[in-house]
Amino acid sequence: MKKITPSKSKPKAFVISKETQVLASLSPQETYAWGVICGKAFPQGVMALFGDLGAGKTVFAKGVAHALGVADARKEVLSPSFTIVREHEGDVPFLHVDLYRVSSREELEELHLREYFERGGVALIEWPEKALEFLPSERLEIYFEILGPKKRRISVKRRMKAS
Amino acid sequence: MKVLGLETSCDETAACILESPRRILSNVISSQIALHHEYGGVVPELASRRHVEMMGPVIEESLTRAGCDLTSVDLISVTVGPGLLGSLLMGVTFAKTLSYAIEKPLIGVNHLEAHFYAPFLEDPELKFPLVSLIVSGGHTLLVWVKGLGQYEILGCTFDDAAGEAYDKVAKLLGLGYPGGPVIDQLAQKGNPKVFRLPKPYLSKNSLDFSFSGLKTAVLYLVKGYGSRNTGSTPFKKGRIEDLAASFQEVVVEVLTKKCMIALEKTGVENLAMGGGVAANSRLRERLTELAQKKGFHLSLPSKTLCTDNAAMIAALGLARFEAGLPGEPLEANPKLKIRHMHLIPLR
Repeated sequence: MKKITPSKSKPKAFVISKETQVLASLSPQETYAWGVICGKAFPQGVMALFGDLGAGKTVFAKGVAHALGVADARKEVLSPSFTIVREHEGDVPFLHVDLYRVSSREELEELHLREYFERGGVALIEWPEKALEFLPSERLEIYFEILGPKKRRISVKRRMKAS
Repeated sequence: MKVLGLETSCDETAACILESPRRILSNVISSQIALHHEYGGVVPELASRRHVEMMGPVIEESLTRAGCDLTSVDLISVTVGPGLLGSLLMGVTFAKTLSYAIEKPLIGVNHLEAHFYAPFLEDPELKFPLVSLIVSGGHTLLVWVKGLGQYEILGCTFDDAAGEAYDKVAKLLGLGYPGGPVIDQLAQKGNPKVFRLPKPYLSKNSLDFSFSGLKTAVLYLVKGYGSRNTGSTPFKKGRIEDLAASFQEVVVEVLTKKCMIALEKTGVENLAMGGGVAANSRLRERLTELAQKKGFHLSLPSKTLCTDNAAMIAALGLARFEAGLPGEPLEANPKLKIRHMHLIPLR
């Protein structure tokens, strides 16, 4: 496993791979930068963001949105905990889903997530553990861990159909 | 003239009968009915199917309480957005069908805009222009309400809504959902000076909000890290009441300070509130003190009219109908924005 920080790595050289890549972040700004880098490297498909409250998922989502060309992403991409789904238009559609408040299978079915996924672009899911069976088996999984004040470990892994 | 108001933008199915100009004959929300266990069982909070089940009974109840029937309804007003797509669709479709069946006009309204009109239902002294602070689980918004259909958004949140910060902090402290009332109650027994949390003002004089960092600061205290920015001690075995009070004090101070800046910038002398967080006791207390000290008119609606309700939907629909202003397009629109009629840049 490689450990890299956004300042040390050359963003253009960052390639999403099947192997888990561990990214270090020492601030919300760095988490945002990682979002931009991942958004550029993965402009199509489902991104599942795992991690506790305050781990940086929404900040990362703002970075991804910026990379996809969503105008004024820092201001426009808000936490969708309450509305559950927020749609944005960038160069490609950017769907931001937060399943934090969802508590039953029936509610998940009513969200019709699969129909959204068919529209293309990136669908970024916060709290995806609640809906794994609704997600395509081919997806990007990103795990956020809180290591200390401001310090985060972000692990990125591309899950393929066969695995 | 009697207006039937319908609201299904989120979890609540709500209906009301309003008699012009501002008499609420009935104001019913589904959670009141569920209390009677008439429909039994646990229904999922967010399911739009629930709106289908509740819409009929809620309308019937509102008609019964108002002592009238559908034939005496002159206008239907319905929320078309913003909110959850499935929930909005149910309300809008139901309203269209009903309007067709009873041959009465239908007007679509913006849920957020309706929050500006809720205070008028109880406060005959409230006049335009006013500054409206809408704080709920889904929204944090400061708006200059110049007149019917004339708005300027002064500030909004960059990340979490104020009510969402309450819910998430409650979750971090293991207090359950929703977080607002629990934290408010605990805070009343706590000392707000025990824990020092960062105050998210953003830049000086900014009217925008950011509550995500505050939630994370509470998380650090709970995890035992303390706060590097403020030098606060970690939570460890401190009193939960003190942490609740310290958190609440920061939220209230940021909200009230921004309201004061908004009044100063706009030169407006009326301040009104809406949204679930507007029911917070400390926020109401602090604003009341400031209103007395600074001499502005403060309008604090009762809790029923702060939270999602159909009376405000009826009130706005009626106001627009009588003024001959168009309603919103009659399509469910989860991302509906507030339409700015006159954009005047702030000084």
